[in-house]
Amino acid sequence: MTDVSFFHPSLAFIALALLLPWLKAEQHAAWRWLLLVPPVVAIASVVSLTLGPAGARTVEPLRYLGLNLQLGRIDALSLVFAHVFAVQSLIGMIFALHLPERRQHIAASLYVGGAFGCVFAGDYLTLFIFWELMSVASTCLVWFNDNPRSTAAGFRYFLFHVLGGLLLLGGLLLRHQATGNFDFIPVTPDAARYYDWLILAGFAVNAAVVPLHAWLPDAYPEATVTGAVFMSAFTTKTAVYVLARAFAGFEILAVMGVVMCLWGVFYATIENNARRILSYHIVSQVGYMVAGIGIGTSMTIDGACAHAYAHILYKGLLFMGAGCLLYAAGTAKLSELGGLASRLPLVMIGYMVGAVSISGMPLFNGFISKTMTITGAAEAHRTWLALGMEVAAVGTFLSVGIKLPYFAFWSRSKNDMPLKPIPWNMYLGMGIASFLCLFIGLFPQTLYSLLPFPTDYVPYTPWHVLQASLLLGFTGLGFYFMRNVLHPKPGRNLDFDALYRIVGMGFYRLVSVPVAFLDGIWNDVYEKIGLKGLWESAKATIVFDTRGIDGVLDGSARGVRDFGGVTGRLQTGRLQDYLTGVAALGLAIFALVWALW
Amino acid sequence: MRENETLGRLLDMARDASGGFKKALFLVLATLVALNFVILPHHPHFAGEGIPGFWAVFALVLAVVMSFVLKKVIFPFISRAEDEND
Repeated sequence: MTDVSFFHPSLAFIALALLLPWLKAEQHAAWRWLLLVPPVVAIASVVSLTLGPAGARTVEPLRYLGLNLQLGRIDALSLVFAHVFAVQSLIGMIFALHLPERRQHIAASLYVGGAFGCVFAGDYLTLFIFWELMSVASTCLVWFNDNPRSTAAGFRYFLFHVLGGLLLLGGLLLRHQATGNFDFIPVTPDAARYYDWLILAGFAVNAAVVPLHAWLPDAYPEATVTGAVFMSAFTTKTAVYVLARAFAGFEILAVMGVVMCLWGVFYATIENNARRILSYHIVSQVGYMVAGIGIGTSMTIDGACAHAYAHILYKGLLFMGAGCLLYAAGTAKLSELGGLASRLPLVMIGYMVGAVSISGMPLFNGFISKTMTITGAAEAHRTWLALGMEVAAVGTFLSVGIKLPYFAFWSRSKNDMPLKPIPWNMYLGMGIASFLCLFIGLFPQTLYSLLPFPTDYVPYTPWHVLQASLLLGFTGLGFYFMRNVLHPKPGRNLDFDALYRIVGMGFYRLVSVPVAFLDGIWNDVYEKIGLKGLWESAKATIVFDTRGIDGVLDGSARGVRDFGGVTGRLQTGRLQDYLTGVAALGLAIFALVWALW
Repeated sequence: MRENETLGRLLDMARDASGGFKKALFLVLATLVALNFVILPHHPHFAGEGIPGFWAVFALVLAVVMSFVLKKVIFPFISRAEDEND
C-alpha cells in the first residue's frame, strides 16, 4: 500500500556529501554547521513518521532499469532503528565538528546515508545498493587515518565486506530466479532454501558473527577517531536490523549469538588497545541481539531492538571516550596510559557512563535492554543461552567496565605525559550521549514505546535491581583480587584472522600448485607434440607455398611474359604487316567456314 | 577546551582516600548479600537462583577464574607483537 510520503533521510546525507567537495577547507569555520543539517532533517523526518492502521506503510516505488526499487518501507521495526540512527548521526557529527578534513565528512555522510537506505529498503535490490554504499564509505573511514597500518586494515576490511556483499548478491539473484521477486520479507526456518542461507551468510558477515567477525577488531581500532564513532553504530546494527527483518527464529542465530557474547568478552579481557577492547565488545553486545533474534519470541526480538538502540548510544560514547584519549595522548594502548583521571576528568566521567551502561548497571540504558533479552531467553526456556549471556555480563563489566578505565585513568599516580587540548564539540558529543544513556535508563518507556511488539516488561523490580547489583558488585571484587594478573601487556592476540590467513594461503597453494603442475605438463606436451607438429606443418606450408602457390603464380607469370613477347614481336609498327596479318586471318576464317559448311 | 581543574583535584583527593572507598565497597557488597536473604525471585529462571548469595558467588568465582584462565593460560599462547600483521 503506497499511502505515505516522507523525506528520505539518505537524501540529506548524500546531498551533503555532494556539496562538501565544492567548499574550501579554509572556510571550515563557516560550513561546519552544515554538517548538522542532515541529522536534524533525519530526526525531524523520523519523528514525524507514524504507522498506518495496517502497521506498515510504503512509498511509491522508484522505477529503475525496469525494476521497482522500494526505497521507503516504514514499519515499527524500521522506525526504531531509524530513530536511533538519526540521533546517533547528530551525536557523531557534533563529535566530528572540529575536523576541517572534508573527505572524512563525505565518507561519514555517505555511510550514514547508506544505513538509512538499508533500514527503509523494501526489497533486496535496494538493500544491496545501500549495503555496498556503506561498505565503501566505511572503508574510507579506516583508510583516512592515513598510516600504513590503517591502509592495510582497510584493505582487509574491504575484502571481507566484498565477500559478504557477494554472498548477499548471489543469494538475492538466486532467490529472484526461484521466486521471481526481490521482496525483502521474513523467512521461516522450515521454508529457508539455499539462497536464503546465502543471504543469511552475507548478513552474518556484517553482524560480525563468529567466526566471520575478525574484520571488526582488526579494522575499527585503525579507523579515524571520529570515523570509529560512526562505525561502532551503523554497520553491525544495520546487520542486526536485516536479521530481525528476515531471519527471526533461526536456531543457529540463537546459539551463535551466545558464542559471540562470550567470544567478545574473552578477548576483551586480555586485549591492550582500548579501541580493540571496545571492538571486541561490539562483537559481544551484538551477540545479545543476534541471540534474541534467533530465539525469536516477541520479547527477545523486542530485547534485541532495545539493546541495539541502547548499544548504539553507549558504544558511541565509549568510542568517543577512547577517541578522546587517543586524540589527547596520542595512544589508546593501556600499557602506555594510566593516571589520567585528574587531567581528563570529563572524559573519564563520560567514559564511565558508557561503561556502566554497557555493563547493565541499574539506572542506565544497558540495564533496561540487556535484562529484557536475558529474561526473554529464560522465559522461552532457553536456560543455557540465558546463562551464557549472564557469564558474558560478568566478563563485560570485568573488561570494559573496570579493567579499561582502571588502567587508562587510574592504576598509577598522576601521569605527566603531554596532552593535546580536546575540542569543545567532542565533549558536547559525549555529554549528549551520556545524558541519553541515563535518561533512557531512568525512563525505559521512552524506548519501550518504540519497540516492534507491545511489551509489559518491567525492568525495575527489586529482584532485577538486586541481581544486577550483586553481579556487578562481586565482579568488581573479583577484579580487585585479580588486578595484577590482568595488567595489560603490549601486543595483540591471534584470532580467526590467523585462520583466514591460513585458509587464504591454503587456497593460494591449492590454486597455484596444481596450476603450476598443469602448466609444466602443458609445456612438455607443447614442446614434444605441439612444436613438432607446428614444425612439420610449417614445412608442408613451405612446400605448398613453393610448389603450389609459387608454381601457379610463377607459371601464370611466365605465360603472361611469353604471350607478351609474342604479341610484342607481332606489333612491328608497319601498316603492310598488319594488312598482311588481317588478310591471313580473314583467309583462315574463310577456309574454316568452307571446311565446316 | 581545558578540563575542569577543580574536578581533577577532587578526583586526586578521591584517589588519596582509596582506603575509605575500599571499605565502603565491602560494606555495600555485604549489604547486597544481606538483602538477598529477603529479596528472592518469585519465579527463578536458573537452578540455584533461589539460594541467597548465588549471583554473588557466581560473579566472584567467574571473574577470578576468567581472569586467571584467560590471562595466564590462553594469553601466552595467542599473544603476538603489535605489528604482527604489518
